[in-house]
Amino acid sequence: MTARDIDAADVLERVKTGVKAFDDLVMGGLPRARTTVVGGTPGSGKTVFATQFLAQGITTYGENGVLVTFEEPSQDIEANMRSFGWDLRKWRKDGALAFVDASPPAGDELVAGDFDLAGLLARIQHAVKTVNARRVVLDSLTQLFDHFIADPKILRRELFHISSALKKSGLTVLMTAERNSEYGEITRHRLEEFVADNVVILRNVLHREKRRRTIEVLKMRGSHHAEGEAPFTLVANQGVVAVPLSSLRLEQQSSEVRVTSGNPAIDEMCDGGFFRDSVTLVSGATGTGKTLLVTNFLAGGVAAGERAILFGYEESKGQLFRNASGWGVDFARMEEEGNLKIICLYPEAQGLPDHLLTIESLVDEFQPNRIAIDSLSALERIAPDTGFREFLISLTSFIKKREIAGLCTATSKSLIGGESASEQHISTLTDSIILLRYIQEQDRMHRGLMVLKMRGSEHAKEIRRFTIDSRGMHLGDAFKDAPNVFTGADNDFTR
Amino acid sequence: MRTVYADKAIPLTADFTLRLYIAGDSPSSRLAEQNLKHMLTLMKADGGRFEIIDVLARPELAEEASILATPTLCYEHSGRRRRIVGDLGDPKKILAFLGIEMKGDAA
Repeated sequence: MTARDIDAADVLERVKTGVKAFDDLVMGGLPRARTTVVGGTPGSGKTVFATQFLAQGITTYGENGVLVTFEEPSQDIEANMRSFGWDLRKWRKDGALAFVDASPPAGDELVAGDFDLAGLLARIQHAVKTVNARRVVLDSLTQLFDHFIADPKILRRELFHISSALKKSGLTVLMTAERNSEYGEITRHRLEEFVADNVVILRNVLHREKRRRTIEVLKMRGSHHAEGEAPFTLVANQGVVAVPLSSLRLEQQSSEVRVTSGNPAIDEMCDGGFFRDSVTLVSGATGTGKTLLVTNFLAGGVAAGERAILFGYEESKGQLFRNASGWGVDFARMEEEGNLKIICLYPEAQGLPDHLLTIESLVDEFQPNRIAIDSLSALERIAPDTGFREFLISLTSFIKKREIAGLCTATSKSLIGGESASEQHISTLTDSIILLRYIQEQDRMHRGLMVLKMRGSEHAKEIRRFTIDSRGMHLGDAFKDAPNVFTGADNDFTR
Repeated sequence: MRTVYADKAIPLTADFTLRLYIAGDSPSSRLAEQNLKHMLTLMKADGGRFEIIDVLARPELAEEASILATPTLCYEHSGRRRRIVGDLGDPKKILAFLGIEMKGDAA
């Protein structure tokens, strides 16, 4: 990066796309009076992204737009985009949006000899003038190339000319182009090479039978941008919603306020309870009492006058209610009184980015003081590895930002000891870890609980045995002969 | 808009329209105009109309006719539309595409 580039970054005015996390990736928005090519395979969300750029301009930033379509007639676009909550027809009637329908005309056409695209440019400029536009979208250039299939050289020259002319008028231009494959050449016909100041790639990758949508900024002339793929999802009434990652900053305040875990003995082990804005992981094999800890966590919060929300991915609401009443906790009454909200979802019902958005929107709606997620392992099942890690980073940062107490569970695969994959992912991201383990002592199996780590606080170091009965969890003495809770192979010592 | 009506001496048939969309006086536009005039002399036709439209001066007419490229020659004959994009360098090929008879054709 030269000094000149840095100067350019300073002076480039930014045009917000309105896709918040994306604007963060490109340091505030697309540079004004520049051309951005958005490449993607069919179905990757190019048209939605491009239309959103115009829609946000009109509704939020007071910038009118022109939409040049090469494939679909304007009525089809209007109908397709309505599900995202964008009323293109109204904007058109209000004079905020103009269409240029550049789809191929009906009837025969013969192309012979040299030509230019002055007709198209004149129409775009006319439309720009009519609505006093600041943003222009051309969707998609690939159809234009297909129309004049025999003359790609002329088209390259002409598109360069159109791009320059629009930029000269101070317009911010977004052009979409199709790609043949997710990780091949940037666009078909390589048009990004001659028109684009900036290149953005939308991907829709099939991985382990799941679709994963990502957005990547490949090039941004004269400016910084975040690198790598950021996940996004298409949401009704919103359009493209990108999940912030690289823009993530650890800016949340660390709280000294303690809240109860719902179990006085565990509070004691944690030197007075969990921190209010911390995320705690409860890890253990099946049947060790993770859901019980979750139940206590929720009930303890509600008893202390807090609001609590639970996202369950393993059991139905009925099962959770029955479990809770088995331990003397009345979830139904708490929910009736409006202090508790329980949402049960199949992990497979949607992709991880959508799960994250569901959690975020329900938390913003319910405004809880504490949140429990049971379990992360169920969510991990549906996601490719990188996707799960991104999900966790976003989730923990969201919980901290909202300054609410979080409790997540993870299931160990082996019954005695052992670390599961999600533990490895999660352990660095959560503030506290509580391990629940089966521990063998002579010929009996006990349950043991220990606080493995607690960021910013003292905590008990011993492994406490505990029992579960109809009134919940009861912590007993510490184990005397320290068994190895990680491998479970305490016998190894003697060999 | 420059509207040029065909020379009366050129025989034109029936109710067809030829519109040539050009962009100012770009080289290909001028070439297309010349080539069109030459083509008209080859046509064996009566009546009809012929216009030249400059898209830079009248972008709304380009919009109306969905013009992308210039020069474009639009031919309309009893509801049938055909277009020729380019500088009209090969009049015989164009007349054949439009289905217009040429002077001296044996047909």
